[in-house]
Amino acid sequence: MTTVGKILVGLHLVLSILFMSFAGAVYTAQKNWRTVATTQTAALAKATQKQNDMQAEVDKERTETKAKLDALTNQIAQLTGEKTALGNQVTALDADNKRLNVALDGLRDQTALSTTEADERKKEADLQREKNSVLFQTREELITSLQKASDDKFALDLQLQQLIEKHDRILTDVATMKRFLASKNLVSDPKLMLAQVTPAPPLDGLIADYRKDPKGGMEYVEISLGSDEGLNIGHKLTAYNVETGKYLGQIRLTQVYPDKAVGIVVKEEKAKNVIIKRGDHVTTKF
Amino acid sequence: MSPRSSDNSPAPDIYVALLWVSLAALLTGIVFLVMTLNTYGWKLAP
Repeated sequence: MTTVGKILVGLHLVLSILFMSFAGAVYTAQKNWRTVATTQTAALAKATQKQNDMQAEVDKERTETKAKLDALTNQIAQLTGEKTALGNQVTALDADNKRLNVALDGLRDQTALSTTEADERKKEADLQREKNSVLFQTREELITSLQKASDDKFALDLQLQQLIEKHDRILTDVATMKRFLASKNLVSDPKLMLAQVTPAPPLDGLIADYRKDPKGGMEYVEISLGSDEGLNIGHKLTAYNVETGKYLGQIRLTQVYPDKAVGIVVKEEKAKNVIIKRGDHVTTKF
Repeated sequence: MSPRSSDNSPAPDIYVALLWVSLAALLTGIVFLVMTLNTYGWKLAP
């Protein structure tokens, strides 16, 4: 073999080994860029999707934030108005407070006066209590007296009832007696009976008036004596003329007053041809 | 080169051995490249 052949064999060997080395290096050190590209593409799509989602979320947040901002702006305006109103209210309340302080001072003065008045009223109440105590004691005494009076009234009512019963019984008896006396043609008038059983006291008097009934012929005289002198209905008096000393007649009293009396002239016992007139005398001594 | 009889064939020397080594290196390199292309699925251009 020639020298050139040998050189070429050697060169061929070196290049073959270099080729093998490069091929082995490529195989061992290479990276699958297609896979990397696919992976990166998917990651890019995912990132893009995520970006879109985040953008949408950001837009949504922006919209909500804008709405919140508008609401807060409105709220700020409302609160500003309320602040103004509250400021006005504070001013009004300050004025009210001042007015109330003035009123409070007045009320304090009034309270002081009321306290003084209350003390005076307490003293007055104490005095009134003492009076009430006395009145209560008096009331108790009056109640006791009233009870006693009630008992007395009950006893008197009972006695009155008994008296009424007795009175009724006596009236019945009197009516029976009057009927009995009338059946016997006796006087039943108690005054006449008293006049019959009780003689007139010895008296002298004057005829104060004389009248004659033109129809019945009854003669009425008024004398100057009455019940104060002891005369009663039914008493008989003798009329006479003191100048001539003539007997004029008998007068039976029908009405008696304290200072005078009225009677009728008894026809059967009147003297003949005499006239009874004012100024004639009457007497019970005959 | 002159023809040679089968009986008179030269004995292999060191350079023949080097050629065999070169052939083995070429085959190994080809195998590496085939395996590399296999990872791409034999798609060379998009």
